[in-house]
Amino acid sequence: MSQEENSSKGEEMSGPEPFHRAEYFLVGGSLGLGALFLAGIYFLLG
Amino acid sequence: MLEARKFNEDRSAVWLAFFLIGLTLFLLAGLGDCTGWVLGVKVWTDPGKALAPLAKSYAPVPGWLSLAATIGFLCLLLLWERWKSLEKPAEFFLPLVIVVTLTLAAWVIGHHGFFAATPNERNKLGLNWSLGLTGEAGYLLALGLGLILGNFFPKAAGFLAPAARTEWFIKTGIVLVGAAIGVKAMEQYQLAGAILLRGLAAIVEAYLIYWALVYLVARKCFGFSREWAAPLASGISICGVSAAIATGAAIRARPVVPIVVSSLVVVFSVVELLGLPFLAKLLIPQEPMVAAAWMGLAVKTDGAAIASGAITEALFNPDGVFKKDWMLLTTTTVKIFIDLFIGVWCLVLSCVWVYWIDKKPGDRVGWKEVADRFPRFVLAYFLAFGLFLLLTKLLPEKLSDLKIVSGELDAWRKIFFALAFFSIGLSADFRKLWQEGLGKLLAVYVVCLFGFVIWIGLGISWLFFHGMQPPLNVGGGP
Repeated sequence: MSQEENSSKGEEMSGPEPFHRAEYFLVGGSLGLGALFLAGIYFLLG
Repeated sequence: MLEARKFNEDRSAVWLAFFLIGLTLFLLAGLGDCTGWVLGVKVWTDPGKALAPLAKSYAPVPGWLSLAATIGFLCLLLLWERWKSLEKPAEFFLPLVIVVTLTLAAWVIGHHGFFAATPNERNKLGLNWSLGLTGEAGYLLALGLGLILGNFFPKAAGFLAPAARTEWFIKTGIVLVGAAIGVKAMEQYQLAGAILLRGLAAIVEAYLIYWALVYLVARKCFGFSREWAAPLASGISICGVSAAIATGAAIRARPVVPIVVSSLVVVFSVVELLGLPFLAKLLIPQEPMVAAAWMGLAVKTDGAAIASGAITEALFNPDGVFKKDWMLLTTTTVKIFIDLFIGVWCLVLSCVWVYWIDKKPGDRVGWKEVADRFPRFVLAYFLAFGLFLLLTKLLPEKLSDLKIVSGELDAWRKIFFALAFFSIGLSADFRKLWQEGLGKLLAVYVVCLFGFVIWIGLGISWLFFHGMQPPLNVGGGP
């Protein structure tokens, strides 16, 4: 499926597109990893 | 019917990029510089100096000949690649020549000092004032030209449409980014090992926090669809044009999405370039390295980030107390490693989209389907990056040649990106886009960038670089 063929998916900038479970995973995982990384650096740098 | 056989843009983009990579590698084998004649446009005010071949070895070649060779080579290469899928090659070739010529014209004009010169370049070019958009103004001009044709001259746009293959151009350009970054990354590593670890840590941290927050704000507060929110998050939070374009392609968004986001990125990078170095001097006058890293993390386009690093260095080191270029090196290192992470993030996003988001209920997506649907150009990006990293590591004596190769591939990359901007302008109906909510896009950009992206960038830079100072200029040398 090319991008042009895929154009039916999300014609509008906004609309009723509920948050997918995978999006929670992506956002939560990213922020969680960021926080862990920050804590690790804080430890390392004293 | 123009298409005789189905044309696979993904596969073709990978092939095209590696063909160009192969040609440039002749230089390493001592067989000569095969693509050094490519047009290398610098910021100009004198039309006589606007056009020149990129490589010094081709310096005697007149600029107009370099332009003609670039147009001719590119058109023939693209025609050759599409030949088997065309019933009437002439219906593709003539529009292609026009598309490439108009795009390169916009690209060259976009490098005029009035549009492109950053504040630190104005004196050299004899300018009192400029828009400061960097050479990436060429993208905006290409987009603008495409839009004018597409919206006011529909017959001409219809004639050019068969050659305006946005996705093809974008994907080829992204694979070339991988090749260009590989050499730069290794070069920065050799130059600035001390800065590297801190820079890498800062970038990982920035990626993890920036992207997720911008995505969340775009989706939850502004109600953007996933197709818009993901390129927007990458464009605002990571490194602008390349990130937005690569993300759009990785999640299979319509090409118009990353192009519109990229245009906003270029415009806003001017605001950052003009404001952030002075804000850094005001807020953290005793922390030159924090300021330099902040420019790399916060200012979006490559050109604007490096220009802001130069301005920051001029502000923090006016008397030459510190050794020259260390602050600029820090900004450049941070910026280059941000570019490198585009590929990593696109890999993550591709997997999430293919395996979860685009999967229909009841579908069983096995590894084979994932492999089939996975964008090959993302893998090719890594392959190109790895190849050049390896070559730089294995052939340190060839570093200067590799830098030439990297510069040439970057020049081709910029041309492919400019072609993508022109092509999308040709097919985009901006009245409809505005109705859809272009104003809202602007709002989310302003809120995220000035609301938290630049401040988090400052915090992360401070965390990793505070207390570091560039070496003192004891001997008075560089």
